[in-house]
Amino acid sequence: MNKITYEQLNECLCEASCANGLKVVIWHKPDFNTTMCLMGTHFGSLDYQLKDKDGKIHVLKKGIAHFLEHKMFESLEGEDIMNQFSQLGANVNAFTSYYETVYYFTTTQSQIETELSLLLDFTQSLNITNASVEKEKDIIVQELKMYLENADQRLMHETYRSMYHTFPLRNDIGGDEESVRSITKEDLIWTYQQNYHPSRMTLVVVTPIHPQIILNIVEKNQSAKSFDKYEPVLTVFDEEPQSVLSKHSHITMDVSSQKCCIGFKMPPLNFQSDLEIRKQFWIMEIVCYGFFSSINPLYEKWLQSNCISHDFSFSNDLSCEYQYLMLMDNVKSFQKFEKFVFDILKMLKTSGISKEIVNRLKIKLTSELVRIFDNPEHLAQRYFMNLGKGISIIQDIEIIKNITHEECMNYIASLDFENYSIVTLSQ
Amino acid sequence: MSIQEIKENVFVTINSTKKFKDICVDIHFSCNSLKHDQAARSILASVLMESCSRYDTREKLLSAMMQNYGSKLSCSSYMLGMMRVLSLRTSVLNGKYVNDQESVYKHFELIHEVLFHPLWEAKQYPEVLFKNLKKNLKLEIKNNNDRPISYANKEADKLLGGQYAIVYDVKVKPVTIEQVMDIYETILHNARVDIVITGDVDSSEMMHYINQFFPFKGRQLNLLTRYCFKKRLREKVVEHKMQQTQLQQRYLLDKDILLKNYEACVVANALLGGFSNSLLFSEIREKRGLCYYIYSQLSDVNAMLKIYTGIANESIELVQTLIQEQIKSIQEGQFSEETLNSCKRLLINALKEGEDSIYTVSYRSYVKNILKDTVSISQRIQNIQNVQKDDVVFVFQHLSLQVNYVYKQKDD
Repeated sequence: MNKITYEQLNECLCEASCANGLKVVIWHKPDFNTTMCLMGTHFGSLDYQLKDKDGKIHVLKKGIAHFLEHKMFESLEGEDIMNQFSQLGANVNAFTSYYETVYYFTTTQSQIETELSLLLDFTQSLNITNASVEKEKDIIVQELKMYLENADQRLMHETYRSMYHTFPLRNDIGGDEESVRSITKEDLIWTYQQNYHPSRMTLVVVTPIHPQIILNIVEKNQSAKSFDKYEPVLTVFDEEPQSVLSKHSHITMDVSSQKCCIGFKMPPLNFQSDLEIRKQFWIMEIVCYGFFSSINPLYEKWLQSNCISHDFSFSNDLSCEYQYLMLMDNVKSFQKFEKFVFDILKMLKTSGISKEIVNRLKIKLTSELVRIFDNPEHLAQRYFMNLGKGISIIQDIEIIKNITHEECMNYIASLDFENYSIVTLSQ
Repeated sequence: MSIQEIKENVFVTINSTKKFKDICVDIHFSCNSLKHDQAARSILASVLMESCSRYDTREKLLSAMMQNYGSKLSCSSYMLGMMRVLSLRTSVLNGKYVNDQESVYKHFELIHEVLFHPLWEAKQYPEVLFKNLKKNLKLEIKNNNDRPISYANKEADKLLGGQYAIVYDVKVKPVTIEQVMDIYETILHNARVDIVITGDVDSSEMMHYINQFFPFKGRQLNLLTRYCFKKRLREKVVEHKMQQTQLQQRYLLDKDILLKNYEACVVANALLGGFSNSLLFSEIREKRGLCYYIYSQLSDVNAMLKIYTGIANESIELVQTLIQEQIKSIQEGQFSEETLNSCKRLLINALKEGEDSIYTVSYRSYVKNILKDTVSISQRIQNIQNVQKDDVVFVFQHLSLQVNYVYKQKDD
């Protein structure tokens, strides 16, 4: 077991790998009551096309990662896994995102062998029947309908759909009613086999219990199981044109305020190393917060002159596959908002952001990262998500520290706002 | 945890713990009022968070907060039983993690500026800014109304009625800056004050900062806390174009029974719909697949229990019947000891987990103090462990349906 101590943060991390490839990470927090155990696979809704060792490409049905997350909670005996955790006094939950599917429980028991073994067992076996798959479809459809009620979420989702021709950001994480209804037991079993092998999974534990005790439980559990040889599959994407799929689209919804979102589709990053990509991610965060939030001295003027409302917001992300920026607001006039957005983007390109703002945001972002260590649930989730990006939280802190104003200005200069989609929402 | 009444009706609680990297400094102002001035109170919360004399724009205030290791400030106004509460909740990173021993001092200084020197100190408040804050509140109300879950929740609460309603129809337009200033003065000088500090702090240093930066004077008041609604069944169905029907119910418990059997009520609620092994979730979601979520929640200051779910139109009657059946099965003791015990374990787990969240520790301290609850967490755990099947049956026999609100999906 490899032990790393971060003295200034007063934190200690232990890492190990099981013989079957399962990675184990333990944050030891002796002052806490809570143990948080997370078992995750870096398989999310963006992984919709998998290339096997023979080069064959398998196209998955939309929403299958999320459907699988629901069905993992079924045990061989037909008893619900959630009930088994409840009987132990532990809270269990799961989520699916673009990049990952995770299962976790929290407990305050001082001995967790039963709970931890249960987590390892239910995420390492799939027990479903045709009938149970069919029943789940109604529950998932109700879940999707719940999300569809949220106007902001629908606006963002429609903007993804307008910007991207094929890239799976355009699909809702849970899929749609049609795709959910078309998923079969066989689809789920195949998807499970490709993505839940121990060598694709990581166990992250945040606990007051001694790390060696945790590792012993994990090793005992894993050594009693055998897994087929795993042939890794690779996520592949179709070539995505630089242009947007649709310049304008409209959603009709029974809401009292009308909304608009302008999504800018920018070229994906051309960097090779995880470190470079992550640095660019943080630079984008600083630039967006520095310019499109109330820390910008101009923001107050925009508000007072009614160019924006208090609901004005932005969303951004970048990777080797995509890069986008969305600006959205509750608007009275769609045309006025469009003009305003292009005016301020011109302003951003000509004036950039100040050195003071960059420095303040570096302090703010760093303190937000340090605060993650106060919450076992956040720590485990964030650590796992970071793992998928190849960068630890501690490395994130270092990266932010080294970002310069010049790098932010260079990034601004490189921004290309040529390709965009405008999505409007009203009654 | 140490609690001190430093002046009449000014309380200080210090939860000293080495667990967290953050330090929370929260100030809660609690008072009774029958005025329907929720809009003005909400605007006051926004005014305080917008700017102050020293940092006269939002940008300057935010910059000062960011500069001090991401100091966080938020302010909210809400109802808690018979009380109107204004809570200023703040946190700052402990200086030892960022090599700045001054961070806590600077944080107190910042709170002082925000709280004691609002922008209207010169007896004027910028008209445009005030208009914008009102506009913002209107927008927030509109946005909430556009979310079927929030709208149905608010409308069901409204149906409870009563002098001390949980929500009112908020009228923003008539609010004046003078009204907001009056409320501010009343709160600052007449409301009960609870200062709660949580984190790795030295108590005497904190008391020194409190004396220096929070010069509250003693005040006389006789604060009323818990409120019970009058029993009367109210039912309403409203149709709206949307994807899903919202069902919201409110039940009343007997106040005296709740006070004497608090833990039994908590366990009974957990058994009905507090967790994913509870009867509602098991029967309505897991067995029949009729919804994605269905939960119940207990509000002990109002002796009220709420049930909420999102369902398809065709299942409205079936779900209502199934809810009644689950309640009846608790009233008749038709549930397993195993389910009861697992709910107790989950409640105990939640109590202990709450001790690992700085925000929960801080807020729990305030609520305990204001409700004069002297039961420690370990005693509470013991009391939950002692709850028997008969106790749960007894408290639910006094449960009565008060509100049945259906926000129904309009057929195309």
